[in-house]
Amino acid sequence: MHRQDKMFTSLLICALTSLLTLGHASLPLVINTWPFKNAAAAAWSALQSGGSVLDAVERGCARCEMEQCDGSVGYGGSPDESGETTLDALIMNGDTMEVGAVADLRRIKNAIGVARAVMEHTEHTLLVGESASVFAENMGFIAEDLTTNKSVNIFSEWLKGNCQPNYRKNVSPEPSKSCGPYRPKTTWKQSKRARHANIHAHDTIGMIALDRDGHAAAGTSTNGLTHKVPGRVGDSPIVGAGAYVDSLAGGAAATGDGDVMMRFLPSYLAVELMRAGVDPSAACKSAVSRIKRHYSEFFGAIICANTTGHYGAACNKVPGLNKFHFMVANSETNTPVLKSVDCF
Amino acid sequence: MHRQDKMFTSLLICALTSLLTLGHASLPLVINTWPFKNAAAAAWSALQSGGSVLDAVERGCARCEMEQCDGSVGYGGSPDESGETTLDALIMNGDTMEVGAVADLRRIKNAIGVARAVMEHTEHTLLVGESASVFAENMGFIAEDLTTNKSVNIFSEWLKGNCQPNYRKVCGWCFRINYFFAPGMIALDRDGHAAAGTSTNGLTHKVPGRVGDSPIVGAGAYVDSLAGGAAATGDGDVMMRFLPSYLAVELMRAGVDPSAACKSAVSRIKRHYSEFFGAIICANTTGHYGAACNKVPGLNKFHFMVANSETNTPVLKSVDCF
Repeated sequence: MHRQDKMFTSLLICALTSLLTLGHASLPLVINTWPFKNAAAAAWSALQSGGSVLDAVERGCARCEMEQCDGSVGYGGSPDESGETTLDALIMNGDTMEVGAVADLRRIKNAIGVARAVMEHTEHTLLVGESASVFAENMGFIAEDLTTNKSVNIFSEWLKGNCQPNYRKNVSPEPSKSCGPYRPKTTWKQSKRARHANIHAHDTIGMIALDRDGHAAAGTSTNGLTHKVPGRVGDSPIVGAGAYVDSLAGGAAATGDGDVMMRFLPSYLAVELMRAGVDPSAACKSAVSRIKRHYSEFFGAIICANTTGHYGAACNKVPGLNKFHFMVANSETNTPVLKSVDCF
Repeated sequence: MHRQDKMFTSLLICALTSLLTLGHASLPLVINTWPFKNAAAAAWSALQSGGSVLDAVERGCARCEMEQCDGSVGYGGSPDESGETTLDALIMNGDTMEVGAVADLRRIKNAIGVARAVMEHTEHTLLVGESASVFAENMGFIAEDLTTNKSVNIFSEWLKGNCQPNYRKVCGWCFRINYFFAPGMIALDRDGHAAAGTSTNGLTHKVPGRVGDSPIVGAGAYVDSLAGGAAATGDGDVMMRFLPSYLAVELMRAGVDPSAACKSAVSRIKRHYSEFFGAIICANTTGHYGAACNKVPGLNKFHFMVANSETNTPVLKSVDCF
């Protein structure tokens, strides 16, 4: 009897410890798309120094704007069809559900800063274009050229290559062979053009931050799609598409082929699923699956985190994306750590 | 026994007929927000003449752009802080899930036409601002002044009134007092195709460049031919944070009936913004439809237009707000 009691007690302790470990997920948490380590570090550091989750997300994304993460965020990257770099960003407060966003922002480098100003200094959610740039200047942001030698080179190489790839269809001259200007064709065959699944065309930093007190925030920043039609806005600055957060449910951020992904509101869907108790990995997977149903070859990934600090990610398996990397920092790791998930 | 048989047969016939009537919802269907009858008529007429659901939604919204429905659509309305009228529009194909949208469109009157061009002539979903206007001109749309005497008057009165109301923030939570009437439309045909669209000139006295819910897929409207469609109207800045059209369609996808789906979408926003101004219309794949609205001063009852094979003409419907 004595031995059985011992075994039983050991089993009980073992089970309880496992439950504790399973239930235990570390807060605070910072998680962002892609191996953008400095961004994660900047966000983590903001939290550690007493900043809010909004501060964390703003500083993290701003770090990528300054460092031009992978050429896909901030100035000097992704020139559009006319050679210009324009920026999109979003910031969301998971407590109040307030959102600030900018899209097609010209000549201002700190897009997420402007997004925060939209949230804090207007009643609006989204400001776009030239007017958004004027707003930014009025709010004290400095006007600067977003063009660099690098973006100029990308643009001139593209011109020399007959403007391939581009995002035109059903126009003439034939967009798969030629530069514009383009005029609409009046009749055409309905066919799906191959989308350009390209790891360098579609990056964005998307970030979620949660603190110990249950506050959550999310943010994104990008220079959008290289060679986009001028004025093109993708998923990043669109609430529910590029990111979504509700302190009562969790947060999610997406990256990839924004034109396609935004039609499925993946971040909003993932948060709704987590609201219903679905774990972050499964929520992320569902969001990816929904898009796959319609666009099986889409390029994209999503990160998810719930209110307890559990997190997950998912991505669509296509040439060029077998594995998706993301950064995590929480009170267990105490520093940004590179994580990855296999695409399906 | 004979009498009981008769009664039983009558009851059976009655029950079956009720079931048939309950189950029977008329397709094709056009439904749009607010009592914009001509828009509904234009859309219905497009369907009747063999047009697609996309054609229906485009013509319906375009009718409002031409007629400046209530001053809230098209040219000559809702001047921003600098006196300019800019337009937003969206069109969505429920079969392919393709979307075309424009926002902050300047000097082009037919915003939903440009939205359709974005969908048909690019791989993108949304084009904004000055660049969107250039795109439109390249696509053959004519540049015109969107300003009229009326919009100029609204603007100068506003300036004289110390620019009240405006959307600059001075307090933590500011009372939002404007009324907003952007139309949204859903069309379904007998073969199961569905489309949705919106068109608006946005919020009067908005900060220039402000984009609300109308051109944002999932916010202003959403449609999936396998589930249904929804379109929202009201305080776009607030509503777009809750993706009400997407949520309503997700609920209908799960079998929730349109009225309940609409109500849930409104409730979600109410939780955070109990005094928000807004309404939503919903329709599922069988042609059942519903609507819901948030009860606030100025909105006790929400009116919308419906045309289907039962009515054969646009009919004014309404729902009480809650």
